[in-house]
Order: sequence, then C-alpha cells, then structure tokens
Amino acid sequence: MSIDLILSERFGFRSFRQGQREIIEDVLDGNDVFAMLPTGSGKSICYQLPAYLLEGIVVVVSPLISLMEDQVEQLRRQGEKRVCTFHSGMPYHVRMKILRDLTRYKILYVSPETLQTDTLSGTLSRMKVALFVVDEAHCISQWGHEFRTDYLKLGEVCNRIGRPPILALTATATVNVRNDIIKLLNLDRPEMHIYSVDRPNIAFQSEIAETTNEKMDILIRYVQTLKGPGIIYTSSRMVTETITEALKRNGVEKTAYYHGGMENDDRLLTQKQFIYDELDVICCTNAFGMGINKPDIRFIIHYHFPSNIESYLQEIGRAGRDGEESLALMLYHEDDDFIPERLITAELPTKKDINHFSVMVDVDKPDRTLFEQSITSLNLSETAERFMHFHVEKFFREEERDFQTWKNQLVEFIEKRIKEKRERIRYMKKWILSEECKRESILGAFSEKLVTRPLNCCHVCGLSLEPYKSSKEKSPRPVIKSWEEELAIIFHQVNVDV
Amino acid sequence: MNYLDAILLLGISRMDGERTTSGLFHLFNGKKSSQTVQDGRLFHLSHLFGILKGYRFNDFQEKINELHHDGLIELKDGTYPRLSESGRIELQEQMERRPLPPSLDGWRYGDFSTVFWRRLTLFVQTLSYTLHEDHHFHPIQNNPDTLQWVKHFFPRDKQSRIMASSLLFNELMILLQKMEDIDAENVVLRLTRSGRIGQTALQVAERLQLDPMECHIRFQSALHFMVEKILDGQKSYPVLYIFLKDMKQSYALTGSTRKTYQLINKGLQLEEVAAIRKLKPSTIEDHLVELAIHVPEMDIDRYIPESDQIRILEVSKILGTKRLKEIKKAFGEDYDYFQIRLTLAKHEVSHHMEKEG
Repeated sequence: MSIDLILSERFGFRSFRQGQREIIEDVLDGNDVFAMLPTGSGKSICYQLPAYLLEGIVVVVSPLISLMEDQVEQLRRQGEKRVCTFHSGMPYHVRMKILRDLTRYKILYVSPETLQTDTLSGTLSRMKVALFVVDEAHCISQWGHEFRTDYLKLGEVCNRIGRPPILALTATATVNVRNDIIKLLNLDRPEMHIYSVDRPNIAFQSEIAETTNEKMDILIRYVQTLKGPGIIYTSSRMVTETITEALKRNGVEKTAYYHGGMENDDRLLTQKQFIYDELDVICCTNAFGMGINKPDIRFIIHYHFPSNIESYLQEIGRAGRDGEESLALMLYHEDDDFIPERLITAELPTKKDINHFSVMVDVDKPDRTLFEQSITSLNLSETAERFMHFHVEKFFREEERDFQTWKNQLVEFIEKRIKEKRERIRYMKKWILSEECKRESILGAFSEKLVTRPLNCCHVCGLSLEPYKSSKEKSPRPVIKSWEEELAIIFHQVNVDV
Repeated sequence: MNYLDAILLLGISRMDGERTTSGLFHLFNGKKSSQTVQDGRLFHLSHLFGILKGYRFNDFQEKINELHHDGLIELKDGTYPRLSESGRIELQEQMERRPLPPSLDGWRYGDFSTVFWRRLTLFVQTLSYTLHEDHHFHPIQNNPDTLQWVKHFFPRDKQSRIMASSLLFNELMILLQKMEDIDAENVVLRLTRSGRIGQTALQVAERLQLDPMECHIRFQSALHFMVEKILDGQKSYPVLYIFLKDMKQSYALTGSTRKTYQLINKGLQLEEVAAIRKLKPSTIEDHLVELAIHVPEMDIDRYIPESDQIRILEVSKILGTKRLKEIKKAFGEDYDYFQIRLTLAKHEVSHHMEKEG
C-alpha cells in the first residue's frame, strides 16, 4: 500500500504537510533520521504512518505521561486499537498484561524512565523493534544532563533492544542542541530534515519597565485590552498567585494560577477550565503547557524571561496553533536578571557540595550505599540530587574506579554546564534588549535566515496592536444557581421539581 | 487570624509541649506510621489526620515560626511547641466562632473519601458528557486506578446510563439535604458536568466567601459525612455504596500491620514474627502498638503484665505527661520504651471511647 493511500485511509488527510513525506520515506528506508518541524505541524504522523508498513513494533519515548495518553487517545479515536502506553502510573496487572501481549501492538509509548526497567527492555529485546522514536528530543539536551538523566541512557537501551533505526523529533533545537542529541543518541549518519522554526502568525512585542511596579501596571494594561485566551509565564509560584490577584482586582475576572505546588485535582480542573474557555488567562510557571493542546491561544506573555531561547520558543509556540494572529509579549525589568541565574545554580551541585561529599564517603573503599546516603545528606535540590545519583551510578559501573579522577571530572563537568547555561541566559537577554528585528534574531539563533517578513512582525519593524485587542468586554463569570438546581442539571433531571 | 493558624494552634494545644513540630506535621500531613497513629489517639487529633496532605515541611515550619513570633506559642526546650496565654485565648475565640465540623474524621474516612471523590467526580463527568452524546471530553482525573475503576463500572448502554443518573441524583440529593446549604454547595460546585468544569478549592472558597482553610475543612467534613452515611446505610444508598464497596476491608490498619496481626494471632512471639517477616523487631513493636490502638480485643498482657500497666499509668498521671522519656526516667530500667508505649496506647483508647471533639 502506498503512503498516500494510508494517509487518506487511516489518518483522513488528502495530502502531506511540509516535510512529512520526505521524513517518512527516509524512515521507511531504514535510515536514522533527525527531524525538526515547527509545533503543530503533525510530527507524530512521521512515525505513526510507517508503523503500518514496518514489520515489528514502533517504540516511542515521550517525556510526559499526559502526552503519551493524549496520543494514544487520539489514535484510538481514529480507530487504531493496537497502541498503548507503558508507565509506572499504571496498575501492575495491566502492565503485565501488556507485556504478555506486546507483539499484538503496533506502537508503544514509554517514558525514558520505564524503558530502563529490565522487564520492559528485556521483553523488547526478544522481539522485533521496527523503529525507535524519541519525541521532543530536545529534552535530552535540555533536561537529560541534570534531572532526567535516564534520557542520557537512551542510546544504550536502543542497543539492548537490537538497535533499530532511530527517529529523533523536535520542534526547537539550536545547532548545538542538535549536535548534542545526535551524539547522545548515537545516531548513525542521520538524514537531517530541518524546517524553519518561524511562526509567521505570532508577532513579537517587548516592553522594558523602569520599576517592578511599572512592570505590573504594564502587564495589567495589556491583559485588560488583549483578546484571550492567553498564558502569562513567570518564574515563581508565588508570583503566579500575586499576578492572578492583581488581575482579578483589575477586572480580569476569569483568571487562575497554575503551578507545581498545587493539589493534583486543582491542577487538572484549572487545565480543563482553560481548555473549555471558562478561563481567559492562566498565570503559571513553566509547569504548564506541555501536553496542553489548545489551538486558539491568542497571547503568551512572559513576566519573567526563561533561561534559554529554545524554552522561550517552545512557550510562545503554544499560541496560534490554529494559524490565527497571536501575540508574544516580553516584559522586562533589570531585577529579573538574577532569577535564571539562581535557577541554574540550584539545578546542579556546587563545588563545595562535591568537596563535602568526598569527605563523607570512604574514598579508598567506595561503598555504594554510603555514597547514596551521603547524597541525601547534602540537602540538594531535587534536580541536583538526581544528577548526583546518576554520576555515582556511573562511577560504580566503571571497572577501574578512581575517586579523584571521577571527582575532578565531575567538578569540571558542572563548571562547563554552568558556563554553557550562563551563555544561553546571556543570549536570551541579548535578544530581549536588542534593537534588531526580533524575528530575524530569533531565527538567527537557529542558524536560519528570514525569507518572508509577515505584515505584523515585531515592535522593531513596526507593529499594530489592533488585531490583538479584544472587541468585547471581558465576560463576567456565569451565574450559578442554587445547589439543588445545579445538581439537577448535572444529572439531567431538568424536569424534576426541586 | 486565618483558619489555618487556628488549626495549628488547636494541634499544638492538644500536644501541649509533648511532641516536636515534626510530630504535629506528620499527623496533619497524614503520614501512615505507628507513631503518628498513636499520637492521633493520644492527643485526640485523629479527626485532623491528613488535613494538610501535600503540605511541605518547610512551609509548615514557617507557619509555626510565625505563631511563635506573634507570641501565640512558646517553644519548650526550643523544639516542643505549646500555647502561650494569648494563644489560648485566641484559640478559644476562634473555635467558638468557627468550630470544627462534627463529622470531620480524617483518620477513619480520609483515605476512603479521597478515593470516593475521585471516582465520583470522574463517573459523574462521564455520565453527564455521554448523556450529551459527547464522547471525546477531557477527563478531570488522571489517576490510573480511578480511570480503570470508572471504565469497569460505567454502564454500557444509554438506558442504564439514564437509570444510573436518576438513581445517583436521588441518593446524592438525600445526602446533601442533610447538610447545611453552604456545605452542599461546597460539594456540588466542585463537580464537573458538560458545559461547566468543576471549581477548584480556591474558586469555591471565593464564591462561598470562606477562608480557604475553613472551606477545605468543611469540604473534607462533608465528604466524611457522606462516606459515613453510605457505609452505615448501604441499603439506602445502593449506587453510592458501589463507590466504596471494595475499600471497606482496608479499615484503619496499615497493610503491614495487618500481616503482623495474623501472625501474632497464630501465637507467634514478637521475635519470630520479625524473623519471618524479615523486619526489625522494633518495626513489629510499632505494629503491636498500632494494634493496641485499633483492635479492641488485642491483648497486651503477654508483653507487659497488667499490674505493671497500672503502675505505668499511675506514674504518667502523677507526672502529668505522656512523654515516654520522662516516664521511662521515673522507672529506670524496670520497663523498656515499647512496654510504656504499648500501655499508654491501649489504655488511652479504652478511657476515651467517646467521640473526639
């Protein structure tokens, strides 16, 4: 069957979108492939379609359980039942059943962490794996080095399961990150498919505030006038709450905050309220966004800037997936500078921590348990702790162990990572303050040149805010009836007299 | 003063300098250890067990520091909080103005109500959407067990869905009418239906104009009330009972303690149980103390003779403390900590069978 026929019969599309055909053909030829396609351009078809033609199972590594569930859900709705997820949140008996019947499935979604388990990788090694897909592959480079260190072991696992061809997919990766991914996954002379990260329907605007109070005023003014729905990103949980209160006080009623410190139930409710348009504005940390598939987000505001330009692009890329005009607004005040700096130093252990560590453990007779315990007593951030565990594990895997060498390399590595991260912050900041076209310079970060300039490009090139303004008054919250009436509506008992 | 502070003061007043801040934290945070379970009984705080689930210790400590700074509590020996005179007055005022709801029973119904609520909200959402012929909605729960449960119990055809909807409506109506309107509203606003996602804790508190902590406690209490009524009157709530049926046997005891209990009942000695279960004897001791609290027929005389139990209780009364260290000091080497804990646990329960307030 031709790939065009499968596309229309299975996926209901008449033609391929940019890049899809070329990528699929390379995948079917058995090549390693690196593909960078902008968000919302149908990346998943690049492995879902080949699954129908290849012999064996397609293993997809995905960073978030919710992302995996979404994909499976969507495929099932299309009538494809031979897909499943496998992750630690599933009940034991369900997982065992999947393992027993694994050959029945065409596509398996896993997290990098579960893939490490012997039960799963063992089963996979005894069967034919047709393709190994790493979705959101930039996570390898972005998170792999510190807090999701299982990402760094994907190359190894891939060898263990018979080294099938690898497809690495991402929406945002600079040249450095691309090279990092290729190296870490051990891609073999990959076919590169790089498409522009430019999103012509997103316009750039920045405002530099003199004081933090002024910044808050600017924010409120924008949110009052802009057309929703929209997202405001900040770097701290507390600030999400402060901003939400300020907005509500200023007439933006349908606003809520979202951060990792909230109860799970409330997080889910807030997400769904946003998806179902019951909220106009979500004020959040970067915990919000991945896996939120809402096509009509009209603005993304950064109240604090992220620590690198890829994260920034990921975050603004959530706007305008429906192709309609959307706005990316950056608010800046010089006090913001220390925030990403503080974040990156907390993400890694310091030299002092490492020295402290080497005093606690017995250097001459290394004992794994004592090593692990000593990590805990360092009182590190969660990220830094994971980082230490990963490197201790690496140390004990080596046959000829030399603590001093290990330690020196570790300190060197940390210094190198911090330097790289500082460099990326510096780049981000340079972009914010630069007087050049925002679109051109963001494309420059990805070694791209701007081909066509959209009418509404950025505030440097000249930008009219009119298309982004709200024509109607912000709608008030719906009136809720008595609880008895509400209960009757919930259960469709509208005819019942209450 | 906000309600959270009032709750903290209540906890501190009950523990009265006999436990550290972290002792109180574990209890409010719902840590399932024999020590917290005992403390709950000992200090009559079981109803508040797990009321601050998910709270971080650092934040908790911060709150305690604030209370100290405001002069509402004193720190005995630097780490054991107890109320100051102004704290006592403040607490009394608060509890008169906003008393704890009587149905609150975190230890007994906390776990039940968490699972019950997850199942109910997802079930109700699914019912509402499918009756509107919308099968592609976004579920408001993501816990795999809950998803699995609803999948299993959800009626297959439209006729039985309509039936389930009307039955559930009636049962919930009866239950909710037994509450104050504000509490019924607290529950109903959080449910999700087609056309309206449920309200978050904060949104409900704003709408009902309650302090967030008070709103939270009232909601928990409403859930505990519902669970209690459903378990007591299965025949009156046949549909809602399905949401709880499979959880009933896991009553109160932790899983590991239940295993220990089975072995003890076979006549095995403490050390033998430890060896079989490959656990430390001190862990088995914790289990025995937990059993002494929760199982009325649990006989502790084989671990400490009755006459010795009486001695320990008397000394505890004379010294006016439940702190193990002080009681132990009074006896020197006569008894070990385990025997003292066991005695206090057993007798505390039999002397306080009345409902905690």
